[in-house]
Amino acid sequence: MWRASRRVPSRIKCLGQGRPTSRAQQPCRNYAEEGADKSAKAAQARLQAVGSLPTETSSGGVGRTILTATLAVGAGVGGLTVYAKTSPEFRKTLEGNIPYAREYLGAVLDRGPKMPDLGLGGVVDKAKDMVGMGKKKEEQLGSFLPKLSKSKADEEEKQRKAAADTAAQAIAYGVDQPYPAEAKVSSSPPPVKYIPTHERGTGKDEESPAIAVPAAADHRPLPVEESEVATPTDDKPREILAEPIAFGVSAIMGRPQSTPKKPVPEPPPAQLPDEKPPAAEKMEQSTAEAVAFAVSVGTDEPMPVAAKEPSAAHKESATKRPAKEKKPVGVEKPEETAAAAIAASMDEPLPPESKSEPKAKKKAEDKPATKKKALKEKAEDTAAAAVAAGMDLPIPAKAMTTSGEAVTDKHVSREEKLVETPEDTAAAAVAAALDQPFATEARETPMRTPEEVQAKLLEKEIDDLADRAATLAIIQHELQDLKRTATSAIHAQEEAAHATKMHSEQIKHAMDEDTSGPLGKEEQWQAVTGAKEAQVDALKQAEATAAAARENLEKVRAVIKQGKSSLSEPDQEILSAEEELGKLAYELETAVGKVSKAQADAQVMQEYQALVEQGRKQFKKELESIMPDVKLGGWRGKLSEDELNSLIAHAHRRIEQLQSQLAEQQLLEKSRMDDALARQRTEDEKETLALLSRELERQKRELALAQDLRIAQARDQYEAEMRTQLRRQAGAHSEHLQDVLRVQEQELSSKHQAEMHDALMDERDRYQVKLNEAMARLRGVEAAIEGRADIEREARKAQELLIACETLKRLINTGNEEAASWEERRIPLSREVNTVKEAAGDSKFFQTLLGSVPQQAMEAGVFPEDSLRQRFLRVKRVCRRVAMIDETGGTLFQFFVSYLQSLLLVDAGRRSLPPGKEVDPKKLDTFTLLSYAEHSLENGDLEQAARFMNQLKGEPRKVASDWLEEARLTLEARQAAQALAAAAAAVGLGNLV
Amino acid sequence: MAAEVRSEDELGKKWDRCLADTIVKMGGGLAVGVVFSVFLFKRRPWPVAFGTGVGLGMGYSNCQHDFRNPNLLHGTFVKKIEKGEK
Repeated sequence: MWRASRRVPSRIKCLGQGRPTSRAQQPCRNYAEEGADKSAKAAQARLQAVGSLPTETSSGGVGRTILTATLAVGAGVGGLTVYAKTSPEFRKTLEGNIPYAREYLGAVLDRGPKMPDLGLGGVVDKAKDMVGMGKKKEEQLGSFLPKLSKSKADEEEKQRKAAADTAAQAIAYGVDQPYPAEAKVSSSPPPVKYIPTHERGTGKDEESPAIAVPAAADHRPLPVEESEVATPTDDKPREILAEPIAFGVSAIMGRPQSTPKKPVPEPPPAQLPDEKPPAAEKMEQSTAEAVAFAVSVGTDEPMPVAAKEPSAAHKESATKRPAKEKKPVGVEKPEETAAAAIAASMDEPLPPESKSEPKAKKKAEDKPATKKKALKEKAEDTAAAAVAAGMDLPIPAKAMTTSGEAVTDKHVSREEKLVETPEDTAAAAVAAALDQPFATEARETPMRTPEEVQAKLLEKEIDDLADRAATLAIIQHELQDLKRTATSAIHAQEEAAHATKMHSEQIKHAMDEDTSGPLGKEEQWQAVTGAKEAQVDALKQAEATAAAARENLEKVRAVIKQGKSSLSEPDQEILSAEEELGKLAYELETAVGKVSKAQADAQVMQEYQALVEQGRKQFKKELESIMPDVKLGGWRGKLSEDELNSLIAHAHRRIEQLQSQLAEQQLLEKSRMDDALARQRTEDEKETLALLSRELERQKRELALAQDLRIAQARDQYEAEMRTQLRRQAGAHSEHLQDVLRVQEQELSSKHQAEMHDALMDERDRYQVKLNEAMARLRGVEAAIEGRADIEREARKAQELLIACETLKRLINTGNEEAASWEERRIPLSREVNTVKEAAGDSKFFQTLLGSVPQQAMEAGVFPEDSLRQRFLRVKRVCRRVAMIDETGGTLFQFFVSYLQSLLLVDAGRRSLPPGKEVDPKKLDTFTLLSYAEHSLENGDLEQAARFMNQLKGEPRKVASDWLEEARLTLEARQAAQALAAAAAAVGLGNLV
Repeated sequence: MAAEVRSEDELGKKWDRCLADTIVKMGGGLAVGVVFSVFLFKRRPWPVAFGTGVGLGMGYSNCQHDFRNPNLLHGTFVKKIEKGEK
C-alpha cells in the first residue's frame, strides 16, 4: 500500500515534466499499442488528448500492461455497474447475458434494502461487503462530485451533514460497544481510498462522471487548491468522506494542472502523510462530538441507562446471532426495541414527582404520538427508536436525514448496526415507503418476488409487533396517568385523613379544661375551626381526586380489556399492567378507607364534644336555678357568706347528687359500655366489611389475574401437550392404520392370489383345449395349403415348361426373323434348351427328350424351313449341272458335257413334279428326284424332301450333302421340340385335372 | 475363321481356282518364252508359243486333277476337318 503510494510521486514527476523524455515516451507508445482493451485505448487516447501520459521509471512493460488491463477491466466493470444502477433494463440484460452478473450486481447494488435475502451465516462477510459498499459509494460520490453544480454541491453537503449527524448518533448509541475499533474501520478508508484513486487515474477517467473533467480542466486549474481549501474549512465528520473525494478530484484534476508552466507542486504525496493524522484527529473529534451529543441526548432525561440497555442487549444478541436463526432474532428484536422504548418511557414518568408537574405531563402527552410513530417507523433501529422515544423531537425529520442516499458515512459507521439488526432490512423495506431513494431502489427490482414476499411477511410481522407495541404503549401511558392521579388521590386522602385527625385532636385539645396551654381557649377554638375548614377542604379535594382516580381506573381497565381482546394471546406486559392496576386500585381503596375511618373517629369525638357541652349547659342551668342571682363567672368580687353557703350547700347537694348519679352511672356504666361497644362493634363491622370487600376484591382480582396467567400458561402447556399427544395419536393412528392395512393387504393379496390361481388354472385349461383345437385346425389348413401349394407349384412348373417348349418350337420354326439374309437366320438353341431343362427339373423323360436335341443345333442353331427352301434352289441348279458325274468323279470334259446337258434339258413339265403314290427307286434319276423334292418343299413337307434328296447319287449327292445335313438337323430339332411341347402340355393338363 | 464352303459352292470354287491357275501358268510360260526368244533365240516367235502352251497344259492338268480328287486340300493354311464324309 505504502509502496504504491510512494510510487505516485515519481509518476507525478513524470506527469509534471509534461514533455516526456524519449525513453519514457517509448514504453508509453508501446503501451498504447499493446492495449488490446478498447476502453484502455480510449482512456489512453483521452490521456493523450490531455497532453500527458503515465510513465513509469521502472522497466516493467509487462507489469504495466497487466496493470492497465486490470484497471481497464475494473473501470469497465465499474462503469457497467454504475450504468446498471441507473438503468434497470440494462441491468436485466447484463444479468441475462453475463454469468455471475446477477450475484455481482445483487451484491453491489442491492445492498441496503435487500438484506433479508442474505442468510445470517454470512454476517461477517456482509459487514466486509458493507465496508466495501461504503467505499464504493464514496467513490461514486467522489466521481460525481466534480460534476455537480454549486447548488447541487450545497445540497449534497447538507445531505452529508445530515448523514454525518445520523452517523454520529448511531455511533453515540454504540458508545458502549468497542468504539475505537469502529472508529478505526471508518478512519482507515482514507489512505486506502487515496491510493486507488491515484492508481486508477487512467481508469477513473473513463468512468463517465469524470469524463467532463479533463476537458474542463484545461480552462480552470482549480482543483487542488479548492480541495485543499475545502478540506480544512469543513468541521464536520463528513470530512472523512470529503477527504478521499477531494483526493479523487485532485487525482483526476491534478494532472492537467501540473503542466510544464509550473514547477511540480507535488502536493498529494506531501499531503498524504500530513493529511492523514488530521483526518484521524477529525474523526476522533467527530466521535467526541457524537459522544457529547449522545450524552446531551441522554442527559435530557434520566435515561442513559435505558438507552444503553437495549444497545447492550443488541450486542449480546449480535454476538449470539450467528448461532441463531434469522426469524427468531427478527421477532425478538422488535420486542427488545419496544422494551427499550417502554423502558425509556417508564423511566421518564417516574421522576415527575421530583420534576415540575406540567412538564412531565406535556411529555407524557407527547409520548404516545411520538412513540407510536417511532414504532411504526419500525423501531427500525433501536438507536433511532430509543432516540425517538427519549427525545421530544419528532422522528420523521431525523429519519429522513438518516435515509438519504448520500449517507455513505452512515453506511460505513452503521454497517455493524445494520448487521446487528436484521429486522432493519425489513425496516428498510418499510422505510422504502417513507423515503424516496430506498423506494426507487426497491422499485428498481420488482421481479424478485420471493424476496418481496419475504419482506412483506416480515413487514406484516413487524406491523403486528408495532400494533402490539402501540397498544402496550397506550396502556402504559394510561397506567402512568392513573398512577399519577392515584398517587395524588391517595396523597389527598392521606391529607384528608390527617386533617380530620388534626381536627379531632384540636377539638379534644380545645375541650380540655386545662387552660394552661400556650393558647387561650379562644385561640384553641379558632384553631379548631381552622382545622375544620382545612379538613373540609382536604376532604373535598380527596373526594375529587378519588373520583378522578376512579374514573382513570375505569378507563385503564377498559383499555386493558380492549388490549386483551385485540391481542390474540394475553401478553405478559398487559398482565403486569393489570396487576399494577389492581395494586393501585387497592391502594386507593385503602386510602379512602383510612379517610372514612378517620371520619368515623371524628364523629365519635364530635359526639363526645356534644355530650360535654350538654353536661356543661345542664350544670349552668342547675346553678342558675339554685342561685338565680349568682351568675357563674358573672361576678368579680368576693362571695358573700350566704352565697358561699348556698354554694357549698349546692355543692354538697350536687356532690350527693353526683355521687348518686355516679353510683347510678356506675350501675349504668355497664349497659352504656355495652351500648358503646355495640356501637363500636357496628362501626367496626362496617369497616371490617368494607375492608373485607376491598380485600375480597383485591384477592378476586389477584385470583383472576393469577387465573388468567395460569390459564394462559395452562393453555400453552396443554396446547403443546395436546399437540404432542395429537402428534403421538396421529403417529399411533397411522402406525395402526399401517398395520391394519398391511394385514388387510396380506389377506387380500393371499385371497386374491388364490382366486387368481384358480381362475388362472381354469383359464389355462380352457385355453389349452382351445389351443389344441386351433392347432389341429391349423395343421389341417397348413396341410391343405401345402398340398395346394404343391399343386400350384406343379402347375406353375408345367406352365413354365410349356412356355419354354413353345418358345423353343417357335424359335426352331422361325429362327432369327430380323436377319438380313437366310444364311444368318440360325440362332443357337442352347439358351432355350437350358430353360426347358430348368423348367423340367429332374424329370427323366424330359431329360431324355432334351438329350435328343443334336449338339450342333444347340451350338449353332438350325435353319428354319424358309431358309432351307431358299438354299434348295441353288442346290438344285448345281445338282442339275453335275448330274452326269458319278461317285468316281470325271474329267473336265465330262463336267463340260454335263453342263451342256443341263443347259439343253428343258424341264418345263417336270419341274416341281408331285410324286406318285408309289415310287420306284430304281427308276429315279437326278432330275426326277430334284423335281419331287422341290414339290415336297413347296408343299411344306421338309421331311419328304429330305427323303428324296437322300436318294441322290454321285456328284449331285456330294453337292447336296450340306443341305441334307442342315435339313436333318432342323427336322431333328423340330421333332424334339414338338415332343417336348406335347409332353409339357400333357403335364399341364395333368395338373389341371 | 473363314466360312466353310458349302457343298453346292465347291464346284464353282474349283472352277475359279482352275482358271486362275491356268492364267498364271500361261503367263509364266509366256514370259519364259519371251525371255528365251529375246536372249537365246534371237527373237524367234516359237519359244513364246511354246512357253504359253506349256503353261496352258500345266493348268489343264492341274484342273483335271483337282476335279478328280475332290478331297484335295488347297491353300496355305491347314483346314481342320471335323465332319467325316459319308
